[in-house]
Amino acid sequence: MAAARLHGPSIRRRFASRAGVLLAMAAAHPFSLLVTLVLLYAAWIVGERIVSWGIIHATFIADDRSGCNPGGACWAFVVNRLPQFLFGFYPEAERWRALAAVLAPPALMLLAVAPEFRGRRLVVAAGFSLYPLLAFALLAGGLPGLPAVSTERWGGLTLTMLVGMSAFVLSFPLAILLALARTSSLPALRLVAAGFIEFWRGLPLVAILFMSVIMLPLFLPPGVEAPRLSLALAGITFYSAAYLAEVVRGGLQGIGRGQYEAAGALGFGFWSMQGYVVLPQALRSVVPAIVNAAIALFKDTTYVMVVGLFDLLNIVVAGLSDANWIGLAAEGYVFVGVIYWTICFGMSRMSARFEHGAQGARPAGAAAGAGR
Amino acid sequence: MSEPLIAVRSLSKWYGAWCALDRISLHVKAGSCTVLCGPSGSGKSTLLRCLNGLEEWEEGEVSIGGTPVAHRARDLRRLRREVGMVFQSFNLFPHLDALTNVTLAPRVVGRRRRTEAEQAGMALLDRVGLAGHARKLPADLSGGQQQRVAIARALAMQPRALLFDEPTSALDPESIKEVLDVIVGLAKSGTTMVVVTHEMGFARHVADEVVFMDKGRIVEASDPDTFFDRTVSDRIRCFLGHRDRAYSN
Amino acid sequence: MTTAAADLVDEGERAGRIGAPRSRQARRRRVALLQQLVLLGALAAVAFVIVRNTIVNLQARGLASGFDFLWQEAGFNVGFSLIAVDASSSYGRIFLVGLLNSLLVAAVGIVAATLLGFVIGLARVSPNVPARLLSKGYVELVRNLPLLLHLLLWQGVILRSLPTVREALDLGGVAFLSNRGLYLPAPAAWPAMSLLLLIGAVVATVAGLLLARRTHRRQELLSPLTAATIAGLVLALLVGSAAVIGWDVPALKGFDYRGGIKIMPELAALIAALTLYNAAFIAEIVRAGIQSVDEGQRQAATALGLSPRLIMRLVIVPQAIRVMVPPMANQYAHLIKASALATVVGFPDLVNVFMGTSLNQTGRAVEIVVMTAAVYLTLTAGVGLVTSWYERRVKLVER
Repeated sequence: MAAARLHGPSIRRRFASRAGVLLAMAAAHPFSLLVTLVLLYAAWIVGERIVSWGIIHATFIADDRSGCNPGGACWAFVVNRLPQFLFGFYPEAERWRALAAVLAPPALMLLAVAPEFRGRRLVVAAGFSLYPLLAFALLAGGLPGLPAVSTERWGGLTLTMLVGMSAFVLSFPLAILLALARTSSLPALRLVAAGFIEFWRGLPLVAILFMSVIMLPLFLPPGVEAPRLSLALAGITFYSAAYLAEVVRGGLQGIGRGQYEAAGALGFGFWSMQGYVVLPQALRSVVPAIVNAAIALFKDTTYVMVVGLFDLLNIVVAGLSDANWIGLAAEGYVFVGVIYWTICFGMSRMSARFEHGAQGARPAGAAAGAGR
Repeated sequence: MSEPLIAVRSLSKWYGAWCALDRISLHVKAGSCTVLCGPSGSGKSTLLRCLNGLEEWEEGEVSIGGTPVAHRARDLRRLRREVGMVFQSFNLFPHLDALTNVTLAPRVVGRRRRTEAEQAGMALLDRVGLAGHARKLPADLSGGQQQRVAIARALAMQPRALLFDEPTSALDPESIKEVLDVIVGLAKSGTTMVVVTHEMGFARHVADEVVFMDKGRIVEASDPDTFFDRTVSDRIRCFLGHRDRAYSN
Repeated sequence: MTTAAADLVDEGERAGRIGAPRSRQARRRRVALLQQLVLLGALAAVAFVIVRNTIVNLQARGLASGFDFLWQEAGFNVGFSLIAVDASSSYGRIFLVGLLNSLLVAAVGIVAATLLGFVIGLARVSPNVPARLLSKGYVELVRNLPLLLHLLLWQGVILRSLPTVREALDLGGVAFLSNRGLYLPAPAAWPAMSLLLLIGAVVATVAGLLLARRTHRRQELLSPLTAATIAGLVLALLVGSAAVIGWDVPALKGFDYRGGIKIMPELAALIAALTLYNAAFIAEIVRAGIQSVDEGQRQAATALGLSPRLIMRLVIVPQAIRVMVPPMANQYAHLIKASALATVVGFPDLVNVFMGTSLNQTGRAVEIVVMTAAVYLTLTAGVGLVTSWYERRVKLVER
């Protein structure tokens, strides 16, 4: 009797069709079934509206608002103003420079996850570390063959890429120094580093940007002027360095004492120990958190709009006040959203790939990284 | 030449009020193998770690090759190039493969060129029997293999003396033999070494001098025959007998 | 002791204390002290240069210093405030108004984001497949867009598509929703009765909480009937209290509604954006917290015969909460700071009215920046302290 009962369900399962099993599950959980139906219906309605508005009835080519189909999206707005969205107010003849500055970071990132080739590490590292200087020089010009272009004219995706990438690259070494200082045995160094980190982490980025634009000029020697872009970049760099410092410190705390002892026993000094033994392990163990911080930083570049810089978002906002294209806020914001989403989602996929690929990499803890 | 390579004079160390090392004096001749043994907490590992400056002490002096060990960072680093150490938990660098583990210090600290260091490194790996594993990461090696790489790593700096801190205590019984064989080979080739170990059979086989410590003091320092067969100390007899009895039957 | 050992000991004592390490340690401590003094000296030098530059620059621009401006008349009004304010208010009062507005946004945002975040987070781990997929879609969509974009979307697109004042949505005859704001009834008269009922509700709540704590200490479960009765009593008292109040209901007069409270669309956009954005992160925190509880716990509980709902309530959630609290507190700190985005949409928060308008008008950059920074640093430090206290309190003693 008992044997029959034990075998019963498996026989039934063998013969029942998949639909039958689903029906059985649905019958057992009526509430769940109801929720499923409601959600599916809602998803269908919303999805249908989006496709209809965004693709089916949309207009891609037109000269101004009146040429657009009122029942659909007016993507012509984006198409027409695309050069401005991408390059800001950069002079047309020199736009290739802005294009280079925009394409370099994604190219470097793709290289970093591409199949291994000889010298890849050197190329990627050099590319990243030299980007701020080279991009600035390229965009600013003033050198033979490159006419000067004032920072006031930089804008759009170019500015976003420049600020995001430069802030990250510049804040990284600072973050490492801060993390080492915060874990140092000298109490004064520890306190100063901790104070610095907590200060920049405790303030809103909006306030930091205001402070940078208002206070930094006061700190500079009288008569020295700095462009607003540099001031804002300085603020964002310190902000990013504080967050990254905490991430690096987390990685440092995971390095066992034995590693320090072994390196010490081999005759390594402090800096060579850090550079060859400790930091490679520490940084490797927190790559997901670092990428999270990079993604958050990229999103934070939109904040420069509060100090009057025309990053991608702000330049679209500015474009919305064009008389030819009234009331197209939805199209503009969706465009910006698509760009940001692609880049941010792409970066998070990269990090997931690295996490699975690296051996012995620690899995990301609960909500690792910044929730910015 | 009877000038000892390692000389310890009246070394004392306290952790707060507790005395870990009590007026230790020891001479290690060049080319000899000294085994430090004793019960847990006797101070043998602490003494070993004082020899290359990993631990500090309150009184006394340690000198290597006639030079006293000072605690200035620069001097310590110079000292540590002369004295190599092999740890109980191997402490290999997990992000580097076996060969790079061995060649990193010679290249960075010893400023040797990469090809030169790699040649020497491969020879060392061969010497410990791991030439075929040069490109493997520590995570892919067994405990015994990792410890052998650690020995090669310590040898790569061409130290004047090698310190072993319970090299086989973290290994499973099968791996213990392969590591001990390497250490015996080193001893026979004339390397100066100080070994802290519980492996009494190995000690008897390879040591030139056995030093027994208890409660921070040296109870006896004698040659292996005297130590194992003719000791007058009850404490030592108890220690040795204890070990035999534990595994007889 | 053998003779060899005795010889060594004698020799050691004769050699004496050469290079006594105690002085070595003292020397090292001196070196460390020197290094720190050099560091502090360098910092002091930098600070000195900065301060000197600042003073010179301020003088060059003809800007005054001092905190006396706080008592000066501000000369501008603020669109939304929890306390009375008008064009003749002092800068000090404006500071308070901005601060309270920021706190209001942060508080409402934290509560709303947590509630929504929990719902979505639980959906992420639910066995219901569409719920799981949709919540994952929500999180991935919302997380990868900048908060500022969310804000502008709400303000520029969603709220603008609300009906005009003339055709405002009528919510039960007491509230109205239009593109100029949400109009809610405001309490005008507070009869003693309502206050009494309110006090009664508070007393009932406290009593209920104490009872719950006592049963919890006894490792018992509060019966659902008791809990429902107490909750019902509290609710009845609150409703009664509200019903007795004289409400000022908004009514359309001319071009706008008069009376009641007006929630400006800027505030609504700010709260909506903050809530939806942070809910996505909180959902991930909740998900990670629940998934961090070892599967073995669930298996053991099932083997004991507990139902899935009880397992969630008694076994999973208490352990998950322990893991969730630090990142959650971190998220709250982010939310508090993100309230500063009010500047972008024109809602009068602290940064907007104080660090923006007031600074522009008075030019007291240093003083205003210091005050604003102090506020935010205190708030985030406070969150940090609460987190530390909580972590210490629930520290699991592990083997």
